[in-house]
Amino acid sequence: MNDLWSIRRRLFASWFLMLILVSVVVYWSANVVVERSLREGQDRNLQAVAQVILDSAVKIDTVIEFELPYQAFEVLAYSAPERIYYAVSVDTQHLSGYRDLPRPEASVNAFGALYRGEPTRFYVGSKPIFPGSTERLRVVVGQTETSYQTESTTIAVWIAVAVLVAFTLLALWAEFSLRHALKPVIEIENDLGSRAAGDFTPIIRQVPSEVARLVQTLNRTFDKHRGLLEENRAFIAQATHQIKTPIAAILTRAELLEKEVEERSRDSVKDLIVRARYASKLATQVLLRATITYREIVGVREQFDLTTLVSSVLRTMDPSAEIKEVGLTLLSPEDTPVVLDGDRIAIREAITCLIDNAIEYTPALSDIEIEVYETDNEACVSVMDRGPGFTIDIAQLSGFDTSKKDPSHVGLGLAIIERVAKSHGGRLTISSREGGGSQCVLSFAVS
Amino acid sequence: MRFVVCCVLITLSFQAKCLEIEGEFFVGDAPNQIVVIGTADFSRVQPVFAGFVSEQKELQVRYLQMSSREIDRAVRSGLSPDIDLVMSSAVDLQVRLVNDGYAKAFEPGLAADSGWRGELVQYSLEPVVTIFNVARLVGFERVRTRRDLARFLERSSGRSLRLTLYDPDVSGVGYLLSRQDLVQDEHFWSLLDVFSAQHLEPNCCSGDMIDRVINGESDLAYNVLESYVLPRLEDAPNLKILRFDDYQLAIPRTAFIPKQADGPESANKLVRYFVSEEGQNRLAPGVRLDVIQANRKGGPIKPIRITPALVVHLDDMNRRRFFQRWNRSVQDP
Repeated sequence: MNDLWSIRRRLFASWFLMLILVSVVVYWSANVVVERSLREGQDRNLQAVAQVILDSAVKIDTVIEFELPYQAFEVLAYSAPERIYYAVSVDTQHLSGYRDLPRPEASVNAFGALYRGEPTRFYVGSKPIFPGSTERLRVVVGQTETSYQTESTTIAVWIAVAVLVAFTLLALWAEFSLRHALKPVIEIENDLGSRAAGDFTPIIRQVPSEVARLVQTLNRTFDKHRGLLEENRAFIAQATHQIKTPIAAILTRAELLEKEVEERSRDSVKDLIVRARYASKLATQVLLRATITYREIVGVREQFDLTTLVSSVLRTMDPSAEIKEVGLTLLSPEDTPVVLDGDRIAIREAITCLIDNAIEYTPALSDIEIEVYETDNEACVSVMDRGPGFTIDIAQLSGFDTSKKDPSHVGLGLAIIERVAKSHGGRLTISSREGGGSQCVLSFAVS
Repeated sequence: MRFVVCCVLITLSFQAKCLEIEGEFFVGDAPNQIVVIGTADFSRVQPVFAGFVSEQKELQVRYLQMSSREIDRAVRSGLSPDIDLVMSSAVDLQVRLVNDGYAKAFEPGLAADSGWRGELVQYSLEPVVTIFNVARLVGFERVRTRRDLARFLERSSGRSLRLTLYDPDVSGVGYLLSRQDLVQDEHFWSLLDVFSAQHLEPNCCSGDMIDRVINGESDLAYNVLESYVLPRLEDAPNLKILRFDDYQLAIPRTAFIPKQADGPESANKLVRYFVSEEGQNRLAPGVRLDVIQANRKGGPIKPIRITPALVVHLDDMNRRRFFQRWNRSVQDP
């Protein structure tokens, strides 16, 4: 089970990876974009100052005069708390300002350089000292850009944080959606989990179209299984019938033969009759067992009074009891109903098997007492006889009939009783009675 | 506490570098020294230093009084690591030193409100006023603005009034104030022309100008530090202050920690004390940082903005142009 993978875990792993990737990309690209736009703004400011200085330049006699505009520099100073540098020169002759400002590598106007240990942005402007002159007045204005870089990093961090938050919210939403989406599947799972082993009723549920196919497939599978089961039952019924017919014929012939054969062969014929009867009974029980299983799978259920059922069983069994000269006594009054929800036919068969068994083992001229009663959560049928009692372990009882020496006592009775008890949430308890005999209590759960 | 008052212009050998100082003073006698160089008269900052060493008992303040130009020269030629703090009223020179990378940052938050880049802190503000001799200038009370002053002087052209103001060639503060007057008021040159039409005698310092007005040698002194005038008012009934309604300049006094200073912690402590309420209370009332909010007479106070644009005032080319114009006004009336 440990190597099962989770849709959620996989989704979140890929989500998390994406989150990191997107955040890094967003941070990086935002930083680049913001830095570039801030730098462009800074370049424009520097250019404006340089332009004002250039525009103010005039040549008076041999001297070039120009204005260093306080207000323009102040505007630049207000834009950021950065250091400001400037230099004015004519070709190589320095006129004013800082002498050691860096020169651009190519003929660019704006460039960045490390000056006095700080990243600094420079703008170079130039113009001929008078129209047509080859001498050019050159103005360099510089400003450190530490705060611009800090600002762009801050903006990029905020954007990345915003993306992170958005992604986290999306992830929470995805988690919620996933839960919601998997809900019908979980419901179907619960449905299947709570089903009895042989319950093949179709799943009837409002499910989304994505899950509908799964439900359809499941229901089709259920249908197939039910069909197979029915086929099986029909086969068993058919087979039992087919077996019972020749057995009945054998029995009839054997009974006729018993009167005709000589004294010395009569015992063999009697044995033949007993075995034929057993074969017939066994075939009936096989059919009964199959019927009960089928009814259980199909889920036949109804409400009925257990006391009434038991008394009707007793009535039908009275003749066979009389043959053995055994009395059947129902101890419970018939007017106190014990209501049970279950398969009436199956329970009837189980009780029949139980009493039949008791009749078999009770010695002649003794009584079998039957009691129907209800405890907190169980309806019980207790059958008490004065037979030889059970000498074997209860755990091995499932085939207790076969352990008896008498071949006519061999059968599937107990298997049927146990099956019915189990399918009704009950059990069979067998104990020895005081003064000889045994007590079998068949109990069913009352929901 | 002991004070050692030195004579003006003592040349001291200060760790192989020569500093031309106007006075050397000590406050407190603890073994650990914090060395401050500054332009302010020791008497004005002494109460603050005294308050500081009474709080920081392990520190002694050694104050070296110097001119602002000498401070600029000394910082540029490389200061001794012993010097912990530079305090000056020449805000343009201070800003240029910081701009050129001679300062190191204060602790965060200290220079947040006033100052620049966290490297320059303003600790006081000196309003600038005009003073006059009320006995000599009849009807002068009506003058409220610089325009009024110009008109008044034009009307008094026959009287040959004796006027004085800072000589920008001699005084850095004078140059700074004139440049700021030009920034504030484009008619400043005309005002100077009107001044020159009278008897104009530029001077080196606020103290001298006040003396001249009190003595009757001058009738009016334009741009004088108010904090120097206030203590003199009581003994000079003729001395009056004119606070213009159009604008009043004010010079910020600023401090920075030199880049090579080896112990910036005590400098941070001292500056934090200077800008604290207690430190401010030990300054003269007229120069505290809250002077702008104070209920003063006259127009809006325009403190000189602490901005690297001040650097262009100091440009040689710019100075040359300024003095060409100045001399034209002053020398050819």
